[in-house]
Amino acid sequence: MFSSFRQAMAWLHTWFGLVLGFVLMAAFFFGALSVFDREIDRWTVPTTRIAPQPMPSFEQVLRPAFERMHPTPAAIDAMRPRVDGAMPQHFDTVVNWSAYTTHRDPVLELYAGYEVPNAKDPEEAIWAYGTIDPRNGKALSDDQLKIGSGFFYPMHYSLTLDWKNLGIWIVGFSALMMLAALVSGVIMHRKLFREFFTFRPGKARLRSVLDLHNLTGVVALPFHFFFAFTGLVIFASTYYFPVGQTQLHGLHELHEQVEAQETGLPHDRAGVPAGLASVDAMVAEAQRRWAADGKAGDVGFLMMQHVGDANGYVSVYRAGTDRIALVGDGIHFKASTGELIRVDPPATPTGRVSEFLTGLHLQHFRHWLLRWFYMLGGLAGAVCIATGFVFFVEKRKRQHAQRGSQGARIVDALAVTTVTGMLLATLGILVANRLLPENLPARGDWERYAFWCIWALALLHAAWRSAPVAQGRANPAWREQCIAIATLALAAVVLNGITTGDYVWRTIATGYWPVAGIDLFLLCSAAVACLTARALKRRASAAQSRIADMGMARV
Amino acid sequence: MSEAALATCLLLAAWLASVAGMGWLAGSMPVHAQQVWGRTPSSAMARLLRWLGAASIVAALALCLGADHASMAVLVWVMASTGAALLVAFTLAWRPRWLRVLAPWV
Amino acid sequence: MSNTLAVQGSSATRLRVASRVAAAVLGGYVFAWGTVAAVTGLLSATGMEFHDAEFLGAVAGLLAYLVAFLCTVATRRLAMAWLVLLGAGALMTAAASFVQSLLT
Repeated sequence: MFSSFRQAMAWLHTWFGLVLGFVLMAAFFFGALSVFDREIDRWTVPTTRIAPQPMPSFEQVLRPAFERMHPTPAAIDAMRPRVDGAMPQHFDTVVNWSAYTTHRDPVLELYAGYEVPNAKDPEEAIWAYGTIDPRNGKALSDDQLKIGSGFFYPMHYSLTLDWKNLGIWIVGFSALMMLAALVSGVIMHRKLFREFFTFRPGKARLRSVLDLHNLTGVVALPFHFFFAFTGLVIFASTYYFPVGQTQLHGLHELHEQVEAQETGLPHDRAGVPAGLASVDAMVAEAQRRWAADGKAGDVGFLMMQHVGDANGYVSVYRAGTDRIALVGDGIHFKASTGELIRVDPPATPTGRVSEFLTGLHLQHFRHWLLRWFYMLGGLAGAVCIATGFVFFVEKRKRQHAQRGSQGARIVDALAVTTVTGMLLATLGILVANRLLPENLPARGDWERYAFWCIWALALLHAAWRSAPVAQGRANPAWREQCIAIATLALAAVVLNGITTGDYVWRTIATGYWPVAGIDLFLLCSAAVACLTARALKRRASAAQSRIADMGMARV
Repeated sequence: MSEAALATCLLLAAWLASVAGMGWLAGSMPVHAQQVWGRTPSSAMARLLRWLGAASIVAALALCLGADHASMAVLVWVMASTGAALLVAFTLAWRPRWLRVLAPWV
Repeated sequence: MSNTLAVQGSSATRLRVASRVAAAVLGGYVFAWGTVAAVTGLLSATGMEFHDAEFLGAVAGLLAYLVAFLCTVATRRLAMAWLVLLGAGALMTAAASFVQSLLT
């Protein structure tokens, strides 16, 4: 089929890149936004615009909040098919309470798992989730969609297609194709080092687009490779290759029993009710031990297993704020007495590599410079993919125009939708977030509808305006959507000021960077969109006059 | 100097070292030297620029290691090099002469 | 490359492309699963902690998938690729189950 390896790689790069580029674009762009997911949450849920808080007191804040939690009716309905006989309406046996926080979280996420009597898999628990204000334990309404961590972040890894985890599989396969595209791209690229710094905006369209494609691909190659790869690694044992839950379940069980014996952390409940000693005292003891080890730090993860049982224990983990790992240095106490059961030994070398690879992708550490660099890497990836689309269209559109084929036209319309359309949808959800009434029922759903509707409109617009591509000219939708982007970005900043009083100059003056940063970023995006629209307009009129000249010459 | 201020200075220095390093590396390539100075420097000068570039990028790693835990420093270093390379490439595209400041002796 | 394909877009070519893509995607997955299972199982057998073994298995499997995918797209002998991917994948999967049966 192919006469050489290089030709096979070029075929792979072109066609898999084209088909999955649409998915990769979303993964890269929403991944870049997820770098600042907590800040976007603050922008979109103005009641939570407060300073980050450390893990609050268990006795005063967490325990009452945990005790108020209960699985939602939706979670109970979802569990129903996995239960023999009647579905209980109350869940009294708590398997697990836990709370996770980072240095950027002003609100605290709580998780509670309950035993389900008659569950087909007796190990399966039903889960309840809650968000509280850690200063007073007050629960925050579930109707407030956290657009950063609750929408853009899931978009990044699952496109929010939750049915049978379909989205996770699509993004996973696209990530694998990203790796394949990187390898094949390097093989195709004949002058990887010689053209390392090369970008010639003044040259012909095809050349300058390819320059930008190569530049953003090659220069950020380590970023692209490691993020696609670590993204796959993070989900590999849960979704893509779940050998531990399926084929090698026996080995996994064996390991859990051995571990329970070695660590002294009971795997099962004893069935004997027991009280709970002071958890705050256990947390204080854990922090004292970290400080004594020269790693003074905050609590990142607090977990209680087998709550209310004699086998219950409390695990306190250190937040990995100053290193790559998410959490670590776990210290475990017997829940009923508060006596120390175990101090986790230092991670094995393999464990440390695993912590590093997952931590570098999930990035819960404190490092604002690196965060911005990640954003840059993500956007470089997005530019690389977008220029790939443009190159594909530019290379073929004249040919297709001569043959009367619609191929380039369709690809171009889809490219407009995935590049500028995606930006419009993203800005649209932010604008909708500021425009919808504060106490609208199911407000989060309306925000999601706004996102998808605007994206669909962008597709219709791109298709409707795409006729010139079939004649070998440019689609005006690119420029028009750039203008729409600038308008929506400005509207978002203005609406944020009007509806919350946090005008951009005020947030800058008070140094509230989570919101000021997003507003400034929106303003910069508006400016870039305006400049792009102008450049596209200049280019279009230049092409117009060239065609007119040619027409004159022919006459 | 407080620890945070020291880390900021080290990171700033690391970033400058990355940009200078990438700029020198680009300057050692005939095509880009042509853009920057309008002529190709001698092969000895090109070699000097290449060595300066490489040394500067290694120095950036050392500065990053001084600022953060090693696990984070390598990431900062890789990303700083990426950002620096992009900056140099765009400077070469639109304002190549600005890179003369890196090697006033050429 | 792309043009040759478009020009000779006969049904036979389409079938060949489909078979090649299927071999790379599905055959590659079977091969990768086998690699994950075999590495996880064998490393566990040497006494490594299960989750460490599982992690190394996943890393090895993903890299194996990537290499298998690229080679299958490029190979001249497609039937051979199908045979190697499915055969080796099944063999490694079976080996992992065998190791498990010895340990548990």
